[in-house]
Amino acid sequence: MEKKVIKYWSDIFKQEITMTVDEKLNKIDERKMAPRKQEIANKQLEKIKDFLPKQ
Amino acid sequence: MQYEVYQDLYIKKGYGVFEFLSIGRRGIIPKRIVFAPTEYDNVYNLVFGDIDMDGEINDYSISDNGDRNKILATVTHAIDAYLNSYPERLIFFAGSTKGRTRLYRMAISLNFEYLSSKFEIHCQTDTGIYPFKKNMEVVGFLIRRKL
Repeated sequence: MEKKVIKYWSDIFKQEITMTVDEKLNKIDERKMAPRKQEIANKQLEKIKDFLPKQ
Repeated sequence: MQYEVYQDLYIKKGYGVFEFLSIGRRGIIPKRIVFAPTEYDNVYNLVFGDIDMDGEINDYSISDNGDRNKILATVTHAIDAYLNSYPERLIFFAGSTKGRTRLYRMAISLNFEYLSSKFEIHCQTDTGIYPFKKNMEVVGFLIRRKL
């Protein structure tokens, strides 16, 4: 299968960065990564309700 | 900004996951960055660390590979690429230890003038969320693209 390659010019670092879409990474579910870190972040973010724009 | 960046990255379609190889004095160490959704709308948690033998992220490892600035620049690039695709999203990140959170604060402080032209940077503290200030005692950071 042909790999999708993205050539990204970084304005921040003034250089080209190559990003290749990887089928192995496409199978990763971000929601299931590092559940302990997610739990900590959700707790740390409790005060964000006051910070976020009201819906 | 004048930093080297790892220029060959592997990504998940949609930029939710990035991987790259840290190459330094201790060898080649695979790294992964994940933008994981939190309980809050449009707020994503940046998880970053070495990839363990079992494929999990280890954010406590000290790789001491002599390329710290290059790694931090690569993570910054990932944030930039991610927020270019999702300008409405906020990214939250914190170090796995207080020392690492301080390191991130120092790195932001050193480059704040430039970074603040591109991003809104806020600090999560024990009492609330405030605009970034140098030397502030923080538990994490919130970043979004300046529109």
